Amino acid sequence: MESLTDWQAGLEDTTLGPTRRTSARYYTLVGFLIAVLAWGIYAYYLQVRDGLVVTGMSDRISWGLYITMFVFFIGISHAGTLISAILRVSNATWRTPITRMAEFITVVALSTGALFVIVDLGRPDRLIHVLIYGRWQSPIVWDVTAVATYLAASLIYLYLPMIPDLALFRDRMSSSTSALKRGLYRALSLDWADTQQQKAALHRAIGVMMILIIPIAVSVHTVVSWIFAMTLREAWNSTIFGFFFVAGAIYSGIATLIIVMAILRKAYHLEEYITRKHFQYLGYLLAAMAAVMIYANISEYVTTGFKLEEGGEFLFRQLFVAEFAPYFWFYLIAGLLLPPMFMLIKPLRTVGAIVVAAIFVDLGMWVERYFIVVTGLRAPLLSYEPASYAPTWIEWSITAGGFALFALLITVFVKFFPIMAVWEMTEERKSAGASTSEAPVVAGDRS
Amino acid sequence: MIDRRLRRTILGSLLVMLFSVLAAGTAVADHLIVDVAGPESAALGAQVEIRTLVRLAESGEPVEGVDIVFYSDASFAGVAGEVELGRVSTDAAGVAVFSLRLAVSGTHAVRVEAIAGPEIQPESVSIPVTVGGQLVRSEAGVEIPGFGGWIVTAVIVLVWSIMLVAVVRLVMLARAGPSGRRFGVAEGILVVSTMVAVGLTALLIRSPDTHANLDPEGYQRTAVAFTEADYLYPGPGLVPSVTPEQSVAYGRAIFMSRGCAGCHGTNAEGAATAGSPAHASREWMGQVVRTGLPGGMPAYSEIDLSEQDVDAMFVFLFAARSSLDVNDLEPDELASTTTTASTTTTSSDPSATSLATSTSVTPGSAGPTYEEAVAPIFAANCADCHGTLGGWDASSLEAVLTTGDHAPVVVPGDPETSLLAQKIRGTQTEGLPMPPSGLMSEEEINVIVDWIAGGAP
Repeated sequence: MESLTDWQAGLEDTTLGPTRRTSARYYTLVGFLIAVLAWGIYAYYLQVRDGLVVTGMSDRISWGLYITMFVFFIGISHAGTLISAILRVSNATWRTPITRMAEFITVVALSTGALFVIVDLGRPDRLIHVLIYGRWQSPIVWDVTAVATYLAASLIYLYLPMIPDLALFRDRMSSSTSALKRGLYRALSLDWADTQQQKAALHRAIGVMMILIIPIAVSVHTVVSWIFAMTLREAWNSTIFGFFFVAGAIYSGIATLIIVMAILRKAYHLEEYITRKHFQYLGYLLAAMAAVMIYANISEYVTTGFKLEEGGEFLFRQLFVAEFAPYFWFYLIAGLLLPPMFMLIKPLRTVGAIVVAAIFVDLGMWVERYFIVVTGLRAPLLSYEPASYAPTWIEWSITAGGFALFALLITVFVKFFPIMAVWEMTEERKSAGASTSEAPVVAGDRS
Repeated sequence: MIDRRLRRTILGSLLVMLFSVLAAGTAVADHLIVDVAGPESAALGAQVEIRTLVRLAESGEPVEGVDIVFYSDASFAGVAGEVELGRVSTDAAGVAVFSLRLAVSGTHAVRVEAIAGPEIQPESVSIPVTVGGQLVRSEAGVEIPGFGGWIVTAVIVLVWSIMLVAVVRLVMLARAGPSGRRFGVAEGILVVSTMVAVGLTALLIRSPDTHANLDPEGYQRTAVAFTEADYLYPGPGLVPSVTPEQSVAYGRAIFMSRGCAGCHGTNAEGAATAGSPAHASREWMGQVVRTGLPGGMPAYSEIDLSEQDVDAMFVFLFAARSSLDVNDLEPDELASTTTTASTTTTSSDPSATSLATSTSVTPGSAGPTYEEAVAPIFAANCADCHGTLGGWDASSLEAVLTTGDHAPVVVPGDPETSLLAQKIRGTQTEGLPMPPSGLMSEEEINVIVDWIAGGAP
């Protein structure tokens, strides 16, 4: 077994790698993402100039791709909370190499998702009205409050465990490092010197935040679901909507984490630290959440379908057999039933297969968000013909721009910040080594 | 203070009013007496019969054919009022029976109103019907003592307080460092998060209890509907507000805001539901927007669409012509928005169009024939649509005489009753004059009228 210091040096080298070397492929990727984003921004410019008439949304179906993206990204942002906070609270030590990525995803997805609310506004210049004229009775105000709180909390929660790693970066700077990076790391590492006093303060702060962020995260997606459930629409008249959305959020969050992990692992050769075990454990979590989602779907559609009131019949028809049936069945089969199969069949528990399962989950969940938004508005409230909605190229462009922004932020992030929690992994390895050599002590050190 | 003179004026007015009422009372030929009978109480959901008898007040004889309207009190979504349950006419015995089911417990006022005609005053009588039962029905909204916005505020304050505790630890961490710096990133985070916390709390605390959306001061709401004023999408400052009223952008905005783009396409290029209106003349447009067209084109009143709006739309449509290559009119025609399409000429200037002169009927001939004189006019003025779009077909003599939604449009020998002649003269009683781009020249019209008068050979 290699010595701890050798191992640590290798880990540091790997983590620092992205900030030191930049390949041509990286620039190509960034260039491509910026191009897509720029196209999306151009489309948004047209939308702001001409108004929402350029979208496929109308008076009857007034939410479309943008709200789908909002719900989807807010959902993905639950990756960080679950992996990082819940696993930290439950002391699951295998989480340490992947927590940082999960926390990245949280912050980036949340920012992207919140942006889509603004994109959906016909008059974004009136955004400030929600702060000036908002009322606490309005679900929109709950949403703004919850998302703002969650964004602040997840930024702090991302930042806190990163401080020792930023200090490491600061200390490992070579003379060729740019002044910008030097200044960045020096400022952000908060004069970290690894003293007892500082460690105690850090652990206390992390301890507060890891518990606080769980109810905040749950509240965020509950409130997002209430934007729908508090509206008088047949499809959204559901008491389990909050639970449904939170479960779906965690489900798609894990899937996104698996995909991002696989890409970063490949790109920055993290195979030594992020092993098949991590993918399998996340795969098990994915399968468990799939079971929860399947149960929630059964509970939702069997109860409403058994009674099948007048408005419910229209909804059922469009979901199960008519216009939206392809989407709905894709979600049920490819999004919910298929992914856990990968985990049930042992030869399929490979990294590649788990990534494929995760891609299906994300596709399925995206489609689910889409049809929840559109079918709910499509069902007529009075006896008129159901409206129709088809996104225009402007909406597709802005949506593509949103995905590009998400990928771009993660891509740029890994260039500047440590993608793994070096100090936590080192401490873990230390305590693991201590426990094998000395007494059978449970790895109780939460850090 | 009320002086004597004013008092006298008031008294005088009251007397005049009293006399007027009395005079009116005698002027009314007759007065109805309505008797209403119904059960005083009923079971929840049971059928209740309300019987009314209508008699004339003076002679006492029953009146047949009086409309009896039945109302009941009702409330919905916190608004109380009266709903019409139904109407029944009295039979020969002056009796009207109406049965209803009362699904809500409590005492209901069922009111009947008898409407006999303009010279007989309506009469209205109410009876109470008490419905027993155990239906639970609450007012809109349930007030739970102690519940309110303060809970939301308390939760936010609690969450942010805990978060600020973590941030304070962050500041402590930074201060415990060896260099002992005073102000840095940690303090910055503390300041910013405190500000956000205070801001969110303030948002909740100062949030009004009443519905702020109604009309808070300073709040500029996008109107849901406009009846008179033009509403243009001003955008958040990217496009200048449209002031030159004859600009293409203004016309386009009218075109968009009135829903024209939904069928005619955002650039007036036409769509599956409707063709391109870009080649329409100002006159024709002015008529179509007022009358509408069978097949879906709605009619707009002057309140919805003023003549100035139509002018503006014409400017936009005219500009769209060049981009759509549907017409090659000279731009100077734009100056006069009433100019019709290029075939318009006046009889005093017959040489203006070669078409008119070439198809003119020479005096002394037996009268125009289809092949010689009429077909070229149809080909030039009508066949673009008639023959391609369905309806009347102008492509052959047989089709001209037999096709069309109102076929036959030609009554040989009788131009006055021929729809074709009416339409091209603009004397039709339904539909639009033809061609839509403006009437043909008098020569052309005369050729066709003569052709019909001559038996449409």
